[in-house]
Amino acid sequence: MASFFFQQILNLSVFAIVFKLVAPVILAAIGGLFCGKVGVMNIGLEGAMLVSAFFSIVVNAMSGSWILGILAGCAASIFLCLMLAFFTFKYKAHHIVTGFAINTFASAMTIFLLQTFFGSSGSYQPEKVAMIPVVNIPVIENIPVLSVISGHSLIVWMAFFSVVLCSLIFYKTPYGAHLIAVGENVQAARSVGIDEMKIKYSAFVICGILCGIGGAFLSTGATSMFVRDMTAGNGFIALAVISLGNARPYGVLRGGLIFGFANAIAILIETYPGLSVPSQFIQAIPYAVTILMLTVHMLQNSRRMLAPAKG
Amino acid sequence: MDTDIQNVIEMKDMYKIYPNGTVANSGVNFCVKKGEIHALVGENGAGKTTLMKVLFGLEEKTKGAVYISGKEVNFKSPKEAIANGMGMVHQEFMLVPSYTVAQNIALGNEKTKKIFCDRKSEKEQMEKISKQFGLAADFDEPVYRLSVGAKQRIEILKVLYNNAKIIILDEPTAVLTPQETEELFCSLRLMVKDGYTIVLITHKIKEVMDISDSVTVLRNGQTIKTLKTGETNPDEITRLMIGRQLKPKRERVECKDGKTIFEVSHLNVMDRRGALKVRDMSFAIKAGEIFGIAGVEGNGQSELIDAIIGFLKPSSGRIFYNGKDITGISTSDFRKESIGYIPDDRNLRGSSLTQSVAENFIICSHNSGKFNKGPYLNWKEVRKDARDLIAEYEIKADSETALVGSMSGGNVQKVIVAREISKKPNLLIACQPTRGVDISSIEYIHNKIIEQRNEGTAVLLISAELTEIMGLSDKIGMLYNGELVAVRDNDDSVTENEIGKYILNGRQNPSGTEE
Repeated sequence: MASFFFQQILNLSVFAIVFKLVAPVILAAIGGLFCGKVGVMNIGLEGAMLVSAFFSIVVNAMSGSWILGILAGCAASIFLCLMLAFFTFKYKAHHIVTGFAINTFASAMTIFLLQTFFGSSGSYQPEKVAMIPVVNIPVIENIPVLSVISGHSLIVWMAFFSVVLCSLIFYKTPYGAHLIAVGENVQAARSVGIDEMKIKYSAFVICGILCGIGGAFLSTGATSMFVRDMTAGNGFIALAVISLGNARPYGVLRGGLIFGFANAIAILIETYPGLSVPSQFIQAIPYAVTILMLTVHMLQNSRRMLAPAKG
Repeated sequence: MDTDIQNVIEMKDMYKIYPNGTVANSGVNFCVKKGEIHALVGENGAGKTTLMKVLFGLEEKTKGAVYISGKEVNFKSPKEAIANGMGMVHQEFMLVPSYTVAQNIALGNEKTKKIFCDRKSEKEQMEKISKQFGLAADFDEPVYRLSVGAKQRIEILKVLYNNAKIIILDEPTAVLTPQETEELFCSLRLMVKDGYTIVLITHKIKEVMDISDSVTVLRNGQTIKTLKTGETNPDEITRLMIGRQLKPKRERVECKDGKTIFEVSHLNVMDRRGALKVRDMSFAIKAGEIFGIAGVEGNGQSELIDAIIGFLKPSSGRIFYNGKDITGISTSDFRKESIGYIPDDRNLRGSSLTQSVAENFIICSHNSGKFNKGPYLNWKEVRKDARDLIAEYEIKADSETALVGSMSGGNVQKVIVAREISKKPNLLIACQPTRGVDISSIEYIHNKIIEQRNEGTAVLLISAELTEIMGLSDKIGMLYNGELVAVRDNDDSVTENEIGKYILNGRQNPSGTEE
């Protein structure tokens, strides 16, 4: 069995699986990070990705353009995120309750539309989907080992790029400084003339865009179909990944990759011929790993908190 | 309009009525001349802070006119006020804890190179300002690690960095030690010399006399008078502020009994992180004696109190009450003793803001039998008792069912004092009993504490306010880094300066007279 895994890792297919799995999670997590920085735990990530997955494939199939598909998905996702922001900031509704409502709404709405327009209650599989392109890097794709970075979807690259961009925005730009200030001490931000609402809503728009891209990838990049509730907890995993990454962009990347590897290994075990372990058990591995990592992370954190402060 | 160019700030006939009907300002006139330090004084709720918030664009005025350097303005946000050369140092620190000092100072006014922050050139400017006005700061240190004095300096650096020429300081000395206050005043004097104009909100008369050029007194939302500081005296300002003379301090009666009520012996207490915060502390308090512990906050006061009331277990040492060992007692058992405890944080520990005055009164006595009727509370009795206490302790509350959260700080404090003193304690533990309350409430609470002492209660007073310690205590313990570095009888030979040296430097007393 060990040689089987070794072989898989050697031919690097495991990386292809990992990247494909983590791209939407990382995108949603970075989006959620923006909301988190302004003080809202956005549990609506799941719903935002789901509506994007639905609308992007519908527009994609109608227009034949993956770009239009992504844009439509982003629009739907931004709309949902802004709805959450509106209820939270304008009407002071509790963001967890609102987020939950948003998720239920997203799930029900997509199923309703699926039923109404495509006559199916389970899935929608258009004949022609313009798939989000795969980036093949010339020369490198033929070099052994290095070829691992070639042949991934454009969205995978966007996910990694979003991490870098997020870090630059947070720690190098005035906008990022204002964003974090609004989340940490809104009075301080207000007192120096920062428009807190502009910052808060903009964070939700950014979150909407990122969830939109992630959602579009699910239906028109990783697969070419929409299945009801196809986000399957990716939004919540994203929240766990944020926590795992200490609410820092590169931490999110690390957390996302850990989750991705756990997931990839589960898939590999599942495909191992002649294994008699129940598949449900194997499918639980990534979640178990996430919980385990969160526990380890919490213990580390509490130890850090208890250490006497310097100076 | 007949505005004088000399007046950098002129506010005419200002009204501010909040949507809930609270009238904060009703006809305030306020003029500040260029290059002066103008003190704005008044009791809590007199409308000082509201007036300044209107001026700074944080609140919208209901009526009135505001002129800055002769030009009529109506700031809708702090941004506009800042753009017009105004700066405000708020009562609460407006700092982002995880940011460095430099990031905090630049917040909202970052310099950029292309789209990125230019931290280097920001820092150059900060260093220049810091040197010019003697405001030392470590720019790369995260703010959460700073002392309150340092945080205060950062706030001032921030307004200077934002190019403010008119600076409003809202009770800046409330959290500072005498030495830190003096340093702050030095910087303010330097700033005025450089052409800055300063408005200082305060209710400490001593500071008004020390540093201001003019003083405007507000009472009940109206301007009472504007005076030249040189032409007035503390008594006049106090009279204008509270609208009457201060009552003389209650006379002390020597207590004959002198039995030791409370004793702490070789107490060591660690905080929750395991750092030793109270070191080998011993003291005893007799009946009819006030033992004051002076010290800068964070020198072990909270850990000492937590050990006494049963929140923390001392690592060694003993605590005795009436000769009984109460070391490591549970908080509920502690509260069953006839001990009054006034916590330092009235909102966190002292009261329940979302409950009524009556409910707050029975927080510890709800099970004592007096207010019970079978398994239920006897609300009739609870309310009657509350009405009596409200009348007796001169608490300003609409009724006994008014929410404590809707009351002013001074009145909340009176509710707590009333609750703790009305149980006729043998021992009263008072922590910062007058922090952030107005002069009349301070006067009232101080007199109540002395009254208790005269009736034979032992009082443990913990305060960072030296005037309070010196004004009330029979004995003073100087606390530094968890240790009582000196204990003195409070006679005329004790000076504020001497206490200040002990609580800031510990045993290395520069004068060399003690220890």
